[in-house]
Amino acid sequence: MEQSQTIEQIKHVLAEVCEVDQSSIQPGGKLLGYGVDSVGMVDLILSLEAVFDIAIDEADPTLASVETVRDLADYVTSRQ
Amino acid sequence: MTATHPEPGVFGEFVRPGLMEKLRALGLDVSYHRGTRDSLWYGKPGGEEVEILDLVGGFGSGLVGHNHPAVVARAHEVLDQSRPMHAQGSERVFAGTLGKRISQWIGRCTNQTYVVTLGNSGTEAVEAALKHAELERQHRATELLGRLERRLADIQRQVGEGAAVLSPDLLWDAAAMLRVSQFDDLPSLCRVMEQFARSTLGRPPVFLALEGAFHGKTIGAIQLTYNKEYRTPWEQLGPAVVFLPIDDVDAAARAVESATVTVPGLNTNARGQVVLDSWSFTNVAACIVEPIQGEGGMREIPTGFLETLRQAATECGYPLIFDEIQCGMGRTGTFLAAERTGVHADYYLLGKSLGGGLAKISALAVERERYIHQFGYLHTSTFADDDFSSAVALRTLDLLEDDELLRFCQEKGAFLLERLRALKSRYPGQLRDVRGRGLMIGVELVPQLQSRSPLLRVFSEQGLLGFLVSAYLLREERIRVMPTLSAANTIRIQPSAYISYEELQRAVDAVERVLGILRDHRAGDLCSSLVGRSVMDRRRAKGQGTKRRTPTENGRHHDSLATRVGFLTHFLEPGDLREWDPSLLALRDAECERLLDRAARVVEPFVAGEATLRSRTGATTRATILGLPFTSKQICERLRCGDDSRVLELIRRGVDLAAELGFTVLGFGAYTSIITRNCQAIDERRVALTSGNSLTAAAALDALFQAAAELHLERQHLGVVGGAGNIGTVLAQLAAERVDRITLVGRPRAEARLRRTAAAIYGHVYRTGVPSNGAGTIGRLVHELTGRISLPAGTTADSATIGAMIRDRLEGELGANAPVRIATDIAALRDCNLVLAASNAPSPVVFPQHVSDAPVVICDVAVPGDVHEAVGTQRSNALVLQGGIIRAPLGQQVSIAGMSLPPGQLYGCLAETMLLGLAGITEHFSYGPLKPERVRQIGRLAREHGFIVEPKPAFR
Repeated sequence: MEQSQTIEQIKHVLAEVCEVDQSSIQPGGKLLGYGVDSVGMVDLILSLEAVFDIAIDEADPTLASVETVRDLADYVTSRQ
Repeated sequence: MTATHPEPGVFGEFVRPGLMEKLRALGLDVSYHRGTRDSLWYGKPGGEEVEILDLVGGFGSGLVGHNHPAVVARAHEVLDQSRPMHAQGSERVFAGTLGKRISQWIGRCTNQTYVVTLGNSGTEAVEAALKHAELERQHRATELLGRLERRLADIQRQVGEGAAVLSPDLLWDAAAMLRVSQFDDLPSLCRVMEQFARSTLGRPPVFLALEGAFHGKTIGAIQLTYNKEYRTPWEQLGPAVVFLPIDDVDAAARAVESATVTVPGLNTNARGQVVLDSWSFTNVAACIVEPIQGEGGMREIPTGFLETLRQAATECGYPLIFDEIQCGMGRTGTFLAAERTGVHADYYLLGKSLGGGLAKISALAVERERYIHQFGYLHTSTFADDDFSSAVALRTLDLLEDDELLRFCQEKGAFLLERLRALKSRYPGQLRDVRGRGLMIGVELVPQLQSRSPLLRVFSEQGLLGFLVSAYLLREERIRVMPTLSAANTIRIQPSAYISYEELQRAVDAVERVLGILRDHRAGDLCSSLVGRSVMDRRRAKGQGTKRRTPTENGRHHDSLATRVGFLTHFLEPGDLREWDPSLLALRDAECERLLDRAARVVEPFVAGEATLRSRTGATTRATILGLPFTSKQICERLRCGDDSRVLELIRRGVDLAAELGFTVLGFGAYTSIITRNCQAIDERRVALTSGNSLTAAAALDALFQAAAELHLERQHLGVVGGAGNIGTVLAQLAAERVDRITLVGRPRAEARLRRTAAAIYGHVYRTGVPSNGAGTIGRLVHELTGRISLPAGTTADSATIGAMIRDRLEGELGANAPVRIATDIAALRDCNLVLAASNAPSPVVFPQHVSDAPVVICDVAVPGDVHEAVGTQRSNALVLQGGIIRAPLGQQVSIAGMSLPPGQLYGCLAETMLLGLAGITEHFSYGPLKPERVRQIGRLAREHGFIVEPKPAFR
């Protein structure tokens, strides 16, 4: 899947989970700005696992360095 | 690409990003398109031209004002003559004439003639002076070395011819003096003496300058500039400089003495014996002084001190340099500012107004007898000596005489100084001093550190008051002033010599109005232009002078034995800014945000308030609130743009400030905790950090169980919303020690994670050894089960593994009756009579239909809240509590402006910070994910020190 497609899908998930306007989400935006802290990440992961059909362990140390929407797209791509 | 028209808005992107950011923040980002005499014009978006009275005068370069007709005409004339663009290596007629005229002008004062080196800017003239002075020093050293060599050769010849003999102990004494083992003969001694002299005289020189000095920003000149902010980054690149305190004669003497070296030599005495001798050499290259310091705050150097510096330079042979770049050219009423003192320098520097406001030109004038001829080709520049600049400068010098500019400067300066000084008696708390001479005037404001307006205090503490006043005068009074570069509280007034008396009076009146604003603590008026309004609604601002205890005043009442802690936070809502500073009462929310948006670009973390708290144990702590100039929404917006670097930068500076202030603990409030992942993003060893989340959690549990006890709720069944998250898990673990059943509620697809939380709960109960006769049945069931089955012993298995085994066995044996259950449908809460809501949902998830019909206590610790307001209003059986609010011990009515809480109530995160101070804990506490043992520990400490959790209804 193209990176841009992944980003769009992540934006869609983020908009749904965090109840924000999808068009306002920027690839460089920090997830914390949408309320996704360590607790929120659990909710986000649940949706990402379903949409991308992947398994994510929230204890994965790589996940700790995910800060932006783009970082998350890279992470998801690496899990596919 | 081919556009030649200037493009607005790109200066800040392509030329000076940092500076423009600051100017924008302070409302000084004006683009002027026209200027004559003392007026500048800028255009408003609608096309209207706004005229500004310019008192900055090009930082002192506008003695003849903007675009003086005669100077402009001369420039046109030269350009129309098609003179050679640049003709280096030829006779430069205009430059020669200008050099002669400058020599004559200075000579009128000193009766000397000068050789003039022209340059393109003031700092270049300073560089030229440094280079010439160093050349002079090397000549002095070479001359001394030559004399020594000749002397030693002469003595060796005399000894060889028998005309002189060595004194008995000469070789021994010389060996001791030069720290060598021995000398066999005179030639070997002479060789070592020559080597020693070369080495000593070859040391790098020292320059002397004055504290407060400003001589420019190029590599050499910046070393002579006192302001550390400008100098420090390049300190390693230039010559050594000793800064002398103004008027400290002893310091000047000490500096010269410590720069003086001794060179051993030989001599013959009256009996024809060769004896040891020594010569001294002062390794000072020059002493440079502005007779009236400009950027240092318009300070006149006392005549007596100038005389001392003159005398030292004369005695030791190094040059005294007067930097008259800003104060010269007649601005102070005489051609040279130093004329009034009668003290003469060896070098003079001119610049700024020399170019008549059109040409970039400066001059170094060196007394002819000192001038070293090779300097003329050692120091050159492509653009120096050009016809255009020289011609313009010559015309400007003409104007000094033709238009009697020196008299103008004297008379108008006296008028302005008299009127400004008259304000001092009326505004002693706002106007510290009015200094200067002629039309080089500095108005020094008193930093408003005791103002009733916290905003004015903060701007004063951070050296921004002068800029704030400048912005006000520009936007409200249409007068342009600026602080001096190295004394930010001093406003520079340097108009042209042609300014009218009416304009000067207008300036005085405007200064008086601004002093009145400061006196009356009217920060709102001062900031009005920054928020986009020109007239404040004074009706709404009524009561703005309300006396509020300031942090400083609070500080006076403190127990000196109190521990000191800090709490870093920001404004939650725009209205918090108004609460913090009542003089901003008239600002609407959007205007508060606009003001904060500007402040965030220039303001550093600041002391926003203080509170002292006494424990019931007798311990005392003093908490200082360190504020950041953002609202929650503004931080969120920055995060969403991926541009939170300024927030993080200010958080780090806040930590540095806490360390500087000697705090033992620093609590992170609101977004500072979120953005640093509960402090983890900060690697800090000087101050203990805490997010304060442990006490927030402990308080939530206490509130829940207190209310449950008051309502006599039995067979307690706890529902945990957000049970898969860290906070939900920890709350559930601790609650498991007391309740009978727990239902963990999570989002759909969260089953696996909820099951892990269930395991964590069982593991926690097992590990903590909840007694079988405890309050709840979870402990009893776990106790019974673990008595029947074999579990991994001791430390061989972690809690999660053991918890999972217990979970699986209990689920196998009890099925749906297992004490910890999971659910992904929020309706599962209907079976619960206790609820802890701790999800991360962006909007409420618990509605009336999700709540039991029986009496139920709900504690909502989520931010934003999980429980919809309708639960409180529609379900009378439900008591909804707000989590995380603590009451101070001993009924103390602690109140912190801007925190929107009634007196005596504290947010859990702040209360935890204060508790750590009271308990003397100096290690990171709530750092990273929440931990049950920390929650338990802080809960114990809270009880011990008398903090009270009062169940506080969330909705009324």
